[in-house]
Amino acid sequence: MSIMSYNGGTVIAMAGKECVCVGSDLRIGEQMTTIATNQKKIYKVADKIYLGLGGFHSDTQTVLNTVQFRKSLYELRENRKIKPKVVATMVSNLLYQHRFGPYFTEPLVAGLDPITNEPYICGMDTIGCIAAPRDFVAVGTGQEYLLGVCEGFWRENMGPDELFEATSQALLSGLERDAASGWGAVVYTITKDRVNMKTIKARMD
Amino acid sequence: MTLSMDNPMAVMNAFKSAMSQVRADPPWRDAARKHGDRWNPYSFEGGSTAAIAGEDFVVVGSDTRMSQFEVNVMFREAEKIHVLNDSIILTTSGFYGDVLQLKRVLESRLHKYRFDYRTDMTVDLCAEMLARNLYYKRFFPYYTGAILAGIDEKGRGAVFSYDPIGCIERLQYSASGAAEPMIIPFFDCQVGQVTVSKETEKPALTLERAISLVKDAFRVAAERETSTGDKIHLVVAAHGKPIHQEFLLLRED
Amino acid sequence: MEMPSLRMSARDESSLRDDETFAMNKAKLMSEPNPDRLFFELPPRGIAPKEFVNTHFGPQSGAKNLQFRKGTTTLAFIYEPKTEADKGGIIIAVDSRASAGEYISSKSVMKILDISDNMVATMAGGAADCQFWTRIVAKYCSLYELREKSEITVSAASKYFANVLYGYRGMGLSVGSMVAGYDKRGPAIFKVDSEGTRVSLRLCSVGSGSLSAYGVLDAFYQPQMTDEEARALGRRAIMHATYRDAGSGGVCNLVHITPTEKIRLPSVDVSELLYEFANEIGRDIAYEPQED
Repeated sequence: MSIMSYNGGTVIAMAGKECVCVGSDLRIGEQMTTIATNQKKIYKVADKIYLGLGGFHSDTQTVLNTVQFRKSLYELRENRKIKPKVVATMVSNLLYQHRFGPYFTEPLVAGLDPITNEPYICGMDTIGCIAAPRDFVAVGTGQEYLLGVCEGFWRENMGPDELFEATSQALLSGLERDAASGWGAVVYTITKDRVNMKTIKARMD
Repeated sequence: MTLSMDNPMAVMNAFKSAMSQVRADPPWRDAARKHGDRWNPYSFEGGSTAAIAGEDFVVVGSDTRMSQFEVNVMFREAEKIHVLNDSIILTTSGFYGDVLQLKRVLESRLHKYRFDYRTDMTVDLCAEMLARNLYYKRFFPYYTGAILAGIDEKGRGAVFSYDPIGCIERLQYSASGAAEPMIIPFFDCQVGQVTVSKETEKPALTLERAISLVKDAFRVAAERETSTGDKIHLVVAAHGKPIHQEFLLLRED
Repeated sequence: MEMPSLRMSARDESSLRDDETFAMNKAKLMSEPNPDRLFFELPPRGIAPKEFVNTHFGPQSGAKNLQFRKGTTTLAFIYEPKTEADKGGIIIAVDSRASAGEYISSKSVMKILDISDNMVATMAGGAADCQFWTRIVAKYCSLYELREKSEITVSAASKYFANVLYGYRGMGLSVGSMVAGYDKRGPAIFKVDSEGTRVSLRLCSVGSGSLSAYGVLDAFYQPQMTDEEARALGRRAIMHATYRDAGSGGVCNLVHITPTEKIRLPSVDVSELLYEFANEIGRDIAYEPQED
């Protein structure tokens, strides 16, 4: 079993019309043993920007702390709100700084532009290669399972409700076949006015 | 050459070359093991197959791409679905040589059965036979993910799924091959309806819906999986009707 | 005792003439091998089958979707009836997940396989190995009954099973089975595995989730129970095992073998069992998302 699936966990993000959805499962394990079922993998970076981190748990925490620190420093220095694309570049730079001894984490950035409310989502590999599609991204152990279902669910210009439904359905279907993630899920719907957090009841095995 | 600490670079270099030699050819590996490790009789020609069983029908789909090392497309019209008789359809992904051999074995057994009993074998019997034949090669397995589909004795659709050494299970839907991890959750959602709560009214699985789901599954797979593409080979068997086959175009990139 | 013997296919091929080889291949293709002398083809040139299979189908190989199915929690225990109304006997409970690495290749495997009218075997380890060899044991038991005109004992059946598996030791079979049933000597459970173990136990669990199952069984098992209690205990142990072990899940299948009959109970979703359990003890397991 590789280090990337030691703790397990899956994160997904989907983009809609002036809204994005980001969801994760709640399991944290040690190989095949489930340790806890209340560990979300989505973290708030700025008001409408969230960072999802899949992979090795201790590395995700290190990356998260460093990114939060750098983001605060950026906002203080520039005296303006950070954009999701900047967060993504920041994470990417951090990961590439460790090119030859990488953090074992695949991050995902999802959010709305603080001014234009344009949705932005991106995923990257362990050394920070950004892939920013316009539809959806998934990282973590369940990536493959999710991509298939997402492809079937995603439509152009979805509203917040429709987007939430699509994300939840895709996430639940993906968790169905991934032994290393599951045990509940949480989905954040980010719109220009507010962030809506919802827990989804999932299978507990 | 004698090494002394007067020339530390030479010592270092000698040490390094000794290390790399040991790493490449560790002394604990005996001759047979070295040989066995290198000998690879298998190759993987990519592609995916899927099947859905309904009340009185079964829909089987596969792509027609044959690729090498997941990059080179060798052939765009490879047949991965084999219609064995009026009610049995075999579909396999994996090493094409093993696929053909497996097909040949099954065909000759079916032929002999028809000769001995003057009737076609039913899919239930064939499924058990396939499981045993896969297991007979337990220590030198067929490199295939097989699915056997058909119409059973009672006129119901049947899909049997196997692992390479013949673990058999009858399911409502199954997929195998490179895009299995993408297609299966999609079917879980659309056919198995696992994501909706029990109270919700669920759409019935009609033949039309099953066909369109199989088509969708391959469009999804072709979009995201490199070794799946070119054409969908669709085979539909319904109770009391002849087997119907068609080809549909898919992405060619 | 008749034993399926190994025949090396690589051994004699070089000594055969071309037409003989052809005839042999044709016979192989046309008819099923004689089941009394099970015919397993081995990798050529004396390559060890265990290593060969592991190289090409193991977790390190490129065959991501072609790995063999495995992973399990199975348990069985014997209990005495507590009241007149109860029957007692053996409870066998299992989960239904088959996984290949982290991929769940099936959610609905039946892991309790029939051997005879009053005997079952459970399935842990390699799914195909268990299915195939259990069938061989079942056949042996049927033939025994026809020949001896009396039912085979669990002890004898499990011994045959263990001997067959021992004959294939070092070949890479992976079986962890419990043979459980009621015979003229009463209830019996034998744990049999591919290394050759065969032990008689009254309470037993096998598989990746067995430790969690043992935890529940050891805490709540009593020699005397009502049928309802015993069935609930079996289900609960499986449920707790599936909760903690990623290799187990799906539904809980349960078989109750009483002195007179074998009852297959309907499968119950373990996820629903967990929610029921949480409700029962009043624990709130719902996750509340917090703003951070």
